[in-house]
Amino acid sequence: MDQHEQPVETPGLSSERLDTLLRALAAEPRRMIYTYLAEHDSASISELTDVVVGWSSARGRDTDASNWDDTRTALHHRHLPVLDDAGVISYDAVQRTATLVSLSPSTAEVLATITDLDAAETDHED
Amino acid sequence: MTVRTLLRRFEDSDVAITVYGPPATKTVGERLATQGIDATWRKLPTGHQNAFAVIRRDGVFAEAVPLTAMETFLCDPMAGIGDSGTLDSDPGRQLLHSALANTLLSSLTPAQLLATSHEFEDRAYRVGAGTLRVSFQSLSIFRSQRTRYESLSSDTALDIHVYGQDDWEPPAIPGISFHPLTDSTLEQVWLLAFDADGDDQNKCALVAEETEDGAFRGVWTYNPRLVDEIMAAVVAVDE
Repeated sequence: MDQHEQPVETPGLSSERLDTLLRALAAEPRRMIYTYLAEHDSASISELTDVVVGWSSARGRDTDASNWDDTRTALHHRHLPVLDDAGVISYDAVQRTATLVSLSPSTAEVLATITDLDAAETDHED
Repeated sequence: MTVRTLLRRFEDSDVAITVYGPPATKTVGERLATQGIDATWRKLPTGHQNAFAVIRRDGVFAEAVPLTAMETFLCDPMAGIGDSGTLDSDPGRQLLHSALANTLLSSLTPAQLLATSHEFEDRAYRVGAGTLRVSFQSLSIFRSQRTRYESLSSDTALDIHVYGQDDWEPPAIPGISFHPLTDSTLEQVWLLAFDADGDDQNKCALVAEETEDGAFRGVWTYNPRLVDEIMAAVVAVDE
């Protein structure tokens, strides 16, 4: 297909790729991590845990300070590897650092749409 | 124990606060920095209501608090508190006070001290028994707090002691003892300590000292042993 004939600027994604991305952002902590890295590119697991614990509590999720260690463990063993497998971030499990990878425009658009919808639903501006 | 030696104990405590929120919340980080706190702002599209702050002590996560409470305290501490100061209980304010406890703040305003005092007076009111010792530098400053303290005294079994420079003839109020001071021990000091009738869970104290530029450096605590120590030090002033 000639790229110049595309009706939108971004080419479509295969349904497999779309499934992967939707699964990657199917959990709230992973949407929070993606949103934070979209702003700051790279962060340590401790910083990401602070963001997930703080933001969850600000959103009225049932959390308390004692679950910081549990959250960090969940990030290390589940959420960060899932985002890494989906090709959204690169997670260095030794250095415990996550970095946003360079995304295709269509991937970035899908992820931005999902996180925007999430924010519109849960973080109302007053 | 003097107030200065007490405050010195908190000088080396390692407290770092990171504020997460939209660009409008950047000022909260700046206000914290003016209090001598190691504060950082990190942009996050949370919406204003869901912005939050993470407090780390000695490098370890201690607490996450909604930014709204912290913002009110730093920018407009007397918001929602009436002229006479109603005795109420605001969960946001309680959370903020527990989050910043044991943290030396280097530039407190009288309004912030008053807001903190009100928080602790409300706690004393809820407990309803025990000894409350306060010093607002001079006895005459008590005039603006009189209505509030009359309610505190008449509605509870609290034993209230008010200390200060002897610059005003206080009225007789049942349940309140005045201690006019002629020496300068508490001249620069804003202090409030409540023993919660021996209940360690509810003890609290605020201690602040006026600095040369008119601001106060101070700390508040819920540490029961420290509160006991502060109570004893105040008693010793008038012996």
